[in-house]
Amino acid sequence: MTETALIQRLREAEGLVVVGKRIQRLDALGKVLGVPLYSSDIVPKDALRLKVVRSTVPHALIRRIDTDQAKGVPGVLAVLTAKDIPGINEAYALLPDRPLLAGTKVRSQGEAIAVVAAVDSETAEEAAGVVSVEYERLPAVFSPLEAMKSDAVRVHETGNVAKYLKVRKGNVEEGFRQAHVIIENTYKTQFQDPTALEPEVGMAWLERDGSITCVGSMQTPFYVQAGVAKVLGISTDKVRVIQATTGGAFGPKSDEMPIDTCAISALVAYRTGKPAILAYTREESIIAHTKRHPFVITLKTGAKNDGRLTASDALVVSDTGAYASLGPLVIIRACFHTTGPYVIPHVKTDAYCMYTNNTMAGSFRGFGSPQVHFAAESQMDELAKKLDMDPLDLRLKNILRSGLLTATSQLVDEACGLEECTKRAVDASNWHAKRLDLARDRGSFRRGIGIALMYHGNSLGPEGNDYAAVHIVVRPDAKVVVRTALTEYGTGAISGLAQIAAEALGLPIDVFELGRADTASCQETGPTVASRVIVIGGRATQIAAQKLKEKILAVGGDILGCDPSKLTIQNAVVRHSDDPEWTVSFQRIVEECFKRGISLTETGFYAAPKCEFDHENSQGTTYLQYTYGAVVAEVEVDMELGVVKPLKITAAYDVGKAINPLSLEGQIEGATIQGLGYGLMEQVTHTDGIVANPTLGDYYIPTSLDIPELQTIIVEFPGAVGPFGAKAMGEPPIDLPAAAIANAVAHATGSRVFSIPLTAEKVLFAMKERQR
Amino acid sequence: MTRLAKHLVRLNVNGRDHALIIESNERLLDVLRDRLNLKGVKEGCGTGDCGTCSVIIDGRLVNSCLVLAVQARGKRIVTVEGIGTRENLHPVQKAFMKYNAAQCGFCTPAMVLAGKNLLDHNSTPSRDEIREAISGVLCRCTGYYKLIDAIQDAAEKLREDKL
Amino acid sequence: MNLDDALNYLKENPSDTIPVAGGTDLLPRIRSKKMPARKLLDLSGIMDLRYVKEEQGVIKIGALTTIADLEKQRDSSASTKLLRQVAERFGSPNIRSVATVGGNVCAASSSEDLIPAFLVLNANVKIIRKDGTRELPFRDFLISKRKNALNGDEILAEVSFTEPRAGTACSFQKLGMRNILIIALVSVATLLEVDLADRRISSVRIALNRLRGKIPERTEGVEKWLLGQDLDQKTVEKATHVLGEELRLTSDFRASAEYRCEAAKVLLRRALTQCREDLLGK
Repeated sequence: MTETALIQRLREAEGLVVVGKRIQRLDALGKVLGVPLYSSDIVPKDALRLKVVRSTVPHALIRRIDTDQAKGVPGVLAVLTAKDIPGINEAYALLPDRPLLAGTKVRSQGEAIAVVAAVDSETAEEAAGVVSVEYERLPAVFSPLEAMKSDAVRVHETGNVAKYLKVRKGNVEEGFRQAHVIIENTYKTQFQDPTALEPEVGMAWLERDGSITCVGSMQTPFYVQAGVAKVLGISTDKVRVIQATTGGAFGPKSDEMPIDTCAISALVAYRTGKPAILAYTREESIIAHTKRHPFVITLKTGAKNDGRLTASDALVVSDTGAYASLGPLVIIRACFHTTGPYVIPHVKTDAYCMYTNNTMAGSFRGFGSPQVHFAAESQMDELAKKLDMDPLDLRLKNILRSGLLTATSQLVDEACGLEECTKRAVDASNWHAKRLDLARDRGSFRRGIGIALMYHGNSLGPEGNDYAAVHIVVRPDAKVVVRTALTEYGTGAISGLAQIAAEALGLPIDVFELGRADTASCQETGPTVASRVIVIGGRATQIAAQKLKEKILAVGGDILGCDPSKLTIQNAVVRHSDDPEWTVSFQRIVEECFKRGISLTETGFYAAPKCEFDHENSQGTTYLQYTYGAVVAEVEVDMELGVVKPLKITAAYDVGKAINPLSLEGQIEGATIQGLGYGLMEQVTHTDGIVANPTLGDYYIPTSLDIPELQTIIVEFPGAVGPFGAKAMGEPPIDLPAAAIANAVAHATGSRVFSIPLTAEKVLFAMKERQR
Repeated sequence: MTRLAKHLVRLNVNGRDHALIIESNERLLDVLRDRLNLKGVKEGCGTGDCGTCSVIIDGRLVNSCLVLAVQARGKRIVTVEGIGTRENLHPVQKAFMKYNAAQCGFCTPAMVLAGKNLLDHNSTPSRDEIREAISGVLCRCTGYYKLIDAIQDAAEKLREDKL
Repeated sequence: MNLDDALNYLKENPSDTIPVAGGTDLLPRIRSKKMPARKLLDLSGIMDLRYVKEEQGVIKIGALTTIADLEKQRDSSASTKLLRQVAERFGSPNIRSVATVGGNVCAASSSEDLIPAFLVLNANVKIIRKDGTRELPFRDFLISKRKNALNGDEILAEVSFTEPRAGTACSFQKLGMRNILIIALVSVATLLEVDLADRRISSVRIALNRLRGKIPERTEGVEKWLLGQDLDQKTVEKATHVLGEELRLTSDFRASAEYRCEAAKVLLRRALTQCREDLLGK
């Protein structure tokens, strides 16, 4: 972005009335009152309860499915299998590799095979228990590295590579020749469960005209609409999908599960004529839904003695489980960010997304970025150790700054706040002093401090068409509804759109309401993922607001008998710029519009420019703008048990523009703790393909007693695309906590653990290993 | 389906008595949600690990997924619907709104009850005491910080109101 | 329903009735089909069985005493302190309000934190049925994982133990994967007395959540070795080695046997050190 554009952005930011303010979100009241909002709260009285029979083995042919006994259980209305699907038996997020109901083969535990529909849950469960499935077991593969071997078990007929891509920049051989020091390490990350507090749920019923309505917990109603229509073999205009208030999502509710819950319910509704609801148990949820991809990352890094990086050669391998889901897109983001936010002239990255017979991995907040940053930032500290350099100095020597090139040779052209974030985090955490002081700790409890930096390409970038549609509807009572198929599931982002609309329209926030995400009344808008609601949805909102404003001012000019171009709106009053006493209320104008039949419903559509880059070598503009951040973590390690206690996290982010600093803090805090869990205690463990810990009593997320002191620092270097320069912030704050904590632990103990989560066992044994 | 014994049970919920025919194995969670239509009580796990089903029984915060409805006879049960209304929010509810402490909202009723129950017993809780009081309810969205801020704020407001 | 009604019922229906109090362990197991849903006998209202009292030096705890009740006990006797240490980190505050002493003990598994504590308190259990009572030493009450000594027509009514002498130190150490709502990876309960004249250990009882099998056990080897030893750092260190020899732990996906052994030794060291500091000063 040019300097003029930057100045213009900064000017826009002055004098803001609503945007930038700590405002209460618009959907808070119902939530604190406990009003029935979520799918399970609004089930039709006569709805059939569904129970899915799922595979109990990781890889097998299905020889026989016996549903007769189940059908005979009193109270059971239907038992359906793949052969009962009228349309196409497919339910996938990206690659057509997955059936809705497995008919001939299962490739992981937890695949849906049959569905029981009954008058109540107990009956459904009882009947599901007597559906018998005869398997012919097949050999299976559970490691992505194993899956890469030429003689590996084939998960799919097309082979085990769901996606391969590479980065080639410069010449790594030359780069390593220039290096004085070369280190190579392999890092491993684990399956992380999203653990939204509301498990997956979807329901469906037939309307009088034979169309289907689905309601459920989801991120992307239009994906569900397409999925349901395909399964039923009907056109999408016969399928209406409404997002109910959704109790947390984090990515997986934009993948296959909402299609599953709604399509299975719709199938039953279609067959029986009755409403049907499929609500997952927590155990079912953990086994069946997509999780964060585990990665194995081998990094070979070369640097000169002064710390300047010369080359990076990386092998990045993800385990996407039995079905690809959005694995092919996760690996792209991971591949592009593998090096971390540094300038490296010679880069070679080979990235593979591999099928295995583990349960599925897919979208999850961060989308590949937390994994590669754990590796890249651990590697930077290891390199600093080898060079006998302070890890902060090593980073500052190499970080991305405006005018420099990323690993994909993208020019960092907008105001880049990475250095500012680093400086602020370092100052606020007392880094320099603590780096020295804490190293003097002796005894059984030792403290350490670690730093990690990141960059996060905003929105979809190379992942798809990046557009959004937002409707602004003014009602006769002069209340304004922001309605969009972009969804709210905790982020507060849709309230943020209302703030943006309020700012553009000169109205106070309290006249705004949020509408429902409903395919019947919203334009298709792409998925609610990639933290793009504010960045892309915000632009669409501004466009809708602008159109509406022109209409309002035109009618205002009519009423006042003046030139509309002289009018402004502030606080719901339209005012003449030359004579502030010459006014007409917004309410009056609205009445007039309704009288005249002037529509006050406007749709704003925004499509981001396409990212142009060479797909062969991944060189070019891969993302339209970047969020930057720096996290410092301070920990105390129990040197005898290996237990890591996080003491303080200092997190600084370049957010471009904080639309609502209060909501933004909430997102940073939540993502930080989710990232802390990722680094310290969360792991979905498969034993021979079977999930060993599918309950919340055995899969640990942080509780209120596990959180450290947290200081958040917001830095604003306006981005090129987002409204007011806003950058994506739903995901970036989850990228670094694990990495920073890993570096802090290494500082405290003197030994490195090369995988997460940093369980006490791993930390202790790394220390003992080093002593040997 | 196994036929289970039924009992006539009187439950006192949010200050009102309800006479209900309840089966032996019905959980209090199910009776509150399905019979009394109190949807603020959630089911996040069914195993007592997440706390979103929390209700207050005789002044103690309890996981209603672990209580058989018949075990609750004769006790004072309070759900989120019983502590505040649109026109008259409980100070904890107001504070949650002020701090944007409800994100996805699924744990919110349980957190609100945890906060209210704490303040009913301890009007000057420390931050650590607040963390302890909500430690049986999991939240995935907030990281807990704004929840703690809100409850602390509500404690101050309640003390001010008393003066 | 009162205690008599309950016992009558059990006499009539001994083979397919499960007594339930707090239900914190039972209900999830029934729902996940880990045990069949049979007739449940709700004991939670029997207030007669909810008490903590002292009778001539014997502490008696009714089976329906909740973990929260134990958390609230305020006197400074060793047993109160020990049980409070267990209660403070038990489950979550929500669970403590309803989980009971009886339920915890009857569950007979290594994830029940009160069991190591009652083992070191050398507790007895009182079992009652319609037509009589019997008492058993605590260790005989636990048979194997999830199997206790109750017959179908009996309920556990009370756990009792002689209050340790004044000057007994106690410690409960627990290691889990986060700070609350955990199944202990390793837990160690310790009671220790020292002859203040010669600083030798005059009495010691130690129990771990797992020693050789799948239920909590006393560490007889370590106890035997410690008795009569000087309670100094060398002894503490040697005790951990003796424990290492006694341990027969297994690996699972949560942690390896090797780590559990290491952790058990560390927790024992900390328990003994804590006791030493309490008794002899730093």
